[in-house]
Amino acid sequence: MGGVGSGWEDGGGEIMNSGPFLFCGILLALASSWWGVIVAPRLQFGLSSTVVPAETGQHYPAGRPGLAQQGAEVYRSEGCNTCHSQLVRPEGFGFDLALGWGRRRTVAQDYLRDNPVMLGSVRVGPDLANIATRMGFGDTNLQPVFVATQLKHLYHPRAVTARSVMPAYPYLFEKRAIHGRPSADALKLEGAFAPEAGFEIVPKPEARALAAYLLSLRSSVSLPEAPVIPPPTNQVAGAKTNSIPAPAAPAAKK
Amino acid sequence: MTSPAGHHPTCSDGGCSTVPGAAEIDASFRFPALLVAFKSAAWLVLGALLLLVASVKLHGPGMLSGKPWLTYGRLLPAGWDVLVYGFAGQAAAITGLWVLARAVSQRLQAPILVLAGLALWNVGVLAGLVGILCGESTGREWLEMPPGAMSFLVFGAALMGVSGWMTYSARTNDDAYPSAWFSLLALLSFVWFGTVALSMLGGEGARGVVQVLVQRWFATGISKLWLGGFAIAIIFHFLPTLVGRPLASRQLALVAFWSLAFFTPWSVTHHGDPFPRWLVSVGLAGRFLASIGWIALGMNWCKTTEKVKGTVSSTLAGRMIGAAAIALLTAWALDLLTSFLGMASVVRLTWTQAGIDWLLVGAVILAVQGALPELLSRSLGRPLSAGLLNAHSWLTLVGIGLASLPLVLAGLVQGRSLSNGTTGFVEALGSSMHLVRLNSLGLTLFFIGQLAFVGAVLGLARHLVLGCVTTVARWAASVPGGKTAGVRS
Repeated sequence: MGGVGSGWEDGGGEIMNSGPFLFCGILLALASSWWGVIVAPRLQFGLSSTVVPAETGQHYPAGRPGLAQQGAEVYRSEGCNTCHSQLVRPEGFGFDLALGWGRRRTVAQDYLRDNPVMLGSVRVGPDLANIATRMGFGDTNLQPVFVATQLKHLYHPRAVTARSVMPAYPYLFEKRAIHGRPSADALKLEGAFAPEAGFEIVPKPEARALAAYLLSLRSSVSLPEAPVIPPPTNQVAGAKTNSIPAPAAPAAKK
Repeated sequence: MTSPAGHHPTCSDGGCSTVPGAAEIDASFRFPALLVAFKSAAWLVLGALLLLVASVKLHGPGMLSGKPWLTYGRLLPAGWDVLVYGFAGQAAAITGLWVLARAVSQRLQAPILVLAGLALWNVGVLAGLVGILCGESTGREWLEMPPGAMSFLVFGAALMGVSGWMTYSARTNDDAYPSAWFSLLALLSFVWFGTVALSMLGGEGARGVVQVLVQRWFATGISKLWLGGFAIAIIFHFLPTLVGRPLASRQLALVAFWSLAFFTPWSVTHHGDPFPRWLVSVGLAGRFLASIGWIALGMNWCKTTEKVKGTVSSTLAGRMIGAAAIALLTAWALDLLTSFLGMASVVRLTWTQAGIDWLLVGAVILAVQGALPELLSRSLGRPLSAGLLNAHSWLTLVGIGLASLPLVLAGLVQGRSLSNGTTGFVEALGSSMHLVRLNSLGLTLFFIGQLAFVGAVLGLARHLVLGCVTTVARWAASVPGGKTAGVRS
């Protein structure tokens, strides 16, 4: 059982018997792709800097506040990108814009400050590129509601979405006895998800950071290469937003 | 492997030299093969178990949720990396070196480098596994291991690569067989892709989405040129002798080699990615040009086995090698098909990509597990249990088929449900979960199959240990004045 002794039916390619030729040829082949798909793109947009869109007059993308940056580390550490993407595909390709997952496609500029950039490759869960704004919590006053909903969802996803396949993260929370009045930041859980009487579930700093990171995910500023597209009225009418249901919009889906 | 054992003097203009026989070449792999057999088998079972648990957690997300290291987002990359690097990588490397040595009719050169490389490799995999489970994943697919752990793998691969090139340089035949080219490509690939990726991602070399390009370039390179290269080398080595006829065409092998080497690493972008259009076009062009190589491979293998395909599946090794060839070509065809605009708009970012990845890695596992028992039995002079290997081959074949193909279909179902614009994400995902359950079933069969493989390897170990004990006992008995000898006398 060995093909070596069997030879081949035709000839040719004698130059492949030269070790230096083979080594240099392979190196050239591998190096050419490095130049083509890494070095050239790096020269084109890898060295770019923030821009100041007329819409906001502020640098974009802005750096994340400290807590949100810590949340990015939790997101990476827990492997959230295994199931969630952060990528809105262009109009006419896929269903992202039709489902209201963004106001425009995402482009290279949106990820300029991310390290690591966690685009994701499989959506076992919904896209998170604009999770707060698409759930209707873009307004600053509504952000505490978004954070509370996300914390509840992280503690036990099925407390928010009955058929969710997302794993629960109880270790990001602390269960503690109530002494006197309940903590202001204790989760408001009901039914089977609520702790026994006299106890409360309080988020640890990692959970707060992760919620702050999710809140910071937004790529909706109009850019020259990706202008904001008005929502297509004929599709939005029957579409579900595919986001975690907010208290004010219970009909929406995860 | 039909060459007679022993030395064969050959003479040319430069004088006479000694050509090692097949048995001598096989024997030079005794210690590396033994080392790889045990370590890779352990990684194999552990990787399969981690992936199985991760898969089951999809159906019961509350299960094992109390411990951070058991969360899905850590288990899945940990299991995948253990399977890819712990088992497939090192087992493919050693079998690749073996087919290289056979192709150039030379003993393994500098085996100490291979042993040192394997030691570094296993330290790296262990550190990587612990790192991912402890939450130190890099967040980059196929590169999840912490950079320090990955460095061990690159150094280990470099040492094995030096041994491979030394073996090739010391070849005793005039024409190197195509399996040697692909083995050399694979050996060089890991060092190249790993070094560049680590150096660019470790510092300020890649900002923003350039990081994604580096990560995907690495993933494409190591899945299709490193693992795929070894699998192709193994198939080239085995297929002609399985059917008892020469390889159909060296020219087609040449076309395949250079097409894959040049164009495969370009195919890193897809429709809808957040890159400039030219880069997406380059990725698609690379995918199409690399197809020339896959078509050449398919034609060559089909012509070689023309009218005798039944002969291939009649043996245990042939069944695995033949299935590996089919799985490799199917993975390529699906990758190409899903890159077309119409299909990509439906299946991108769904289960389909995971299914194709499984099929590709499954093909490598099949090729390696077809070749490894041959290498072990020939280098150690004792066959593995045929019954266990037979059970293992069927369970692995069915397991990989069920782990991959239903996921490809699940992605199609998920994508089509979402494409109508009125189905919610959870509903769309739910419509595909019955196919994901088949994936879990496949992983269960795969895991059981690997237990049979480990059983066969342990059986071999038992025979080796017994053989050693017997040898020592005989030696002790033959020593004049020894206790045993004294009793006998």
